[in-house]
Amino acid sequence: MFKRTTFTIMVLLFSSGCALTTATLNVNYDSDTARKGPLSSMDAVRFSVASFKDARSDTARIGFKKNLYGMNMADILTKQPVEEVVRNAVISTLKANGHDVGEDGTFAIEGEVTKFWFDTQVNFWTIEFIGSANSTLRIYEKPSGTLVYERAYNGYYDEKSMGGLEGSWERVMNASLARMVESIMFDQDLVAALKDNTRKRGNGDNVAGAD
Amino acid sequence: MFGHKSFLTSLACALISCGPVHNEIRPDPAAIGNIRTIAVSFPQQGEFAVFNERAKANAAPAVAGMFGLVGLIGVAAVDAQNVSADGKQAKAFGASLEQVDCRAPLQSSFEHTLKEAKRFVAYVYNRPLERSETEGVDGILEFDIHHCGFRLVDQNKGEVAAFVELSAHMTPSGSRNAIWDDRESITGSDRYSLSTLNTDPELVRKEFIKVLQDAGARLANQLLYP
Repeated sequence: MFKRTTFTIMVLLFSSGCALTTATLNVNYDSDTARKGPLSSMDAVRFSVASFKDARSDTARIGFKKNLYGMNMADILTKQPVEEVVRNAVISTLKANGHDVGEDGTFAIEGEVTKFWFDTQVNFWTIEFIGSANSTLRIYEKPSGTLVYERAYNGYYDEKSMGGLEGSWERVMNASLARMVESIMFDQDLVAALKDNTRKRGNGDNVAGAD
Repeated sequence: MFGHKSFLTSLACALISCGPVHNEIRPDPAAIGNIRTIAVSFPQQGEFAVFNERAKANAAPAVAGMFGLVGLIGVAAVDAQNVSADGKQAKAFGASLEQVDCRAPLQSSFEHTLKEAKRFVAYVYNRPLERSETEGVDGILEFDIHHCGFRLVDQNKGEVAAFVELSAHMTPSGSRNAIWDDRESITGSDRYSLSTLNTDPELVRKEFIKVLQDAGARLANQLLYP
C-alpha cells in the first residue's frame, strides 16, 4: 500500500503539469507596473508603432516541457503571438514615459522579435527556469523615413526553484519581457538620438540618417 | 497519526507549489523616496569568463539519464573538456584587454550617471564597507560582480555577446530589510562569432567596456527611476 502510494505520488511529481500535453502561457507585460525611465526626460512625442515581425528561428513555440532527464516532452506556447506581446509591451512603455502612440506619429517604430524562449535546466537539488526575450527596434523619422536609431534589446531572467508549474514559467517569461522593456526605457543613446533629431527638426536642419 | 501517506502528499504539494529559491526585490518609489545619501561598495572585481562550449552542452542531463553511471562519467568528462575550452578562450580574450577588470568601467559609469542626475550623494568604494562608512548615510548598497566576459547568445549561429552578471543588495541604514535584492544579467546588444573576435582585439575591448558601462548606467537608473 505504501509502495503503491509512493509510486503514484512520484509519478504525479515527475510528470508535473502533465509533461506530455502542450502548455499555453499568458505572457504579457503588465502596463500597470510600467516604469518611467530616461525616455520620460524628453518632451512628449507621438510614435506610430507598426506590427512587429516574428524573426525567431523557431516560431512554432517558446520552449519545451522537459522531463528530469532534460528530454523535450511537449511544446510551450503563448496565448498571444509573441510579436504582439512584445509590441504591446513597447507601446505600454512609451505611454508610461509620457509619449503618445497612434497614427501620424513624429517617429515610426518597427520591430522584430529575435528570441522569445523559455528553458529549463535540471540541477542536483534545484530546477532553473530561464527566460529570454530579445528584439530589435528601428526608429524612423516621419515623413522622410530616415532611420534615426536601431538597436537590439535583450531581456534575461532566471530563477532557481525546487519545482514549479506553468505559473512559475509564466512569471519567468513575464520577468524576462519586463527586463527587455527596461533596457529600452533605460537606453540613453536612444533618448539622445530622439532628442537630437527633434532639436534638428526644430531648427529646420536637414536631418541626416543614423550611422 | 502522521502516516506515510500524509508525509508523501505533503512532500508532493511542497515540491510542486514551491516558489523560487530567491525572490527578487527591486527599488520602488516608497522605499527609495527618503534616501539621499548612499554608501556604495563594489567589493569584488568579478571573474572574467567565456561561456560558449559549456552553454552548448544542453544534452548532458539527457545523456546522463539514459546511460546511468556511465553517462554521468561521460558527462563529467565532456563538462571538463568544455570548461577547459572556454578557459582557453577566456585567456585569449584576456590578452586583448589591457586590464581584465569587470569592476572599474562599471563602477565609473554608475558613479557618473548618479552624479549627473544630482539626486543622490553616493560614496562609492571598490572594497567592502567599513563600519564607519555605513553610518551617517541613508542607504547602504553593495554590488557583487560575479562574472563578466562573453557568452553564447545564439546557439544556431554560434554567436557570442559581451555580458556581466552581478547581484545588488541595498538596505536603509540601520535596517536589515532589503529594498533592493536582485540579480542582474546584462548582455551587449551586438553579437559576433568567436572567429571574428579572435582576429579583432580592439573589438573585444570595445564590446567588453561597453557592456560594463551600459550596466553601470542601468544600475544607476534603477535608483533614479524606481
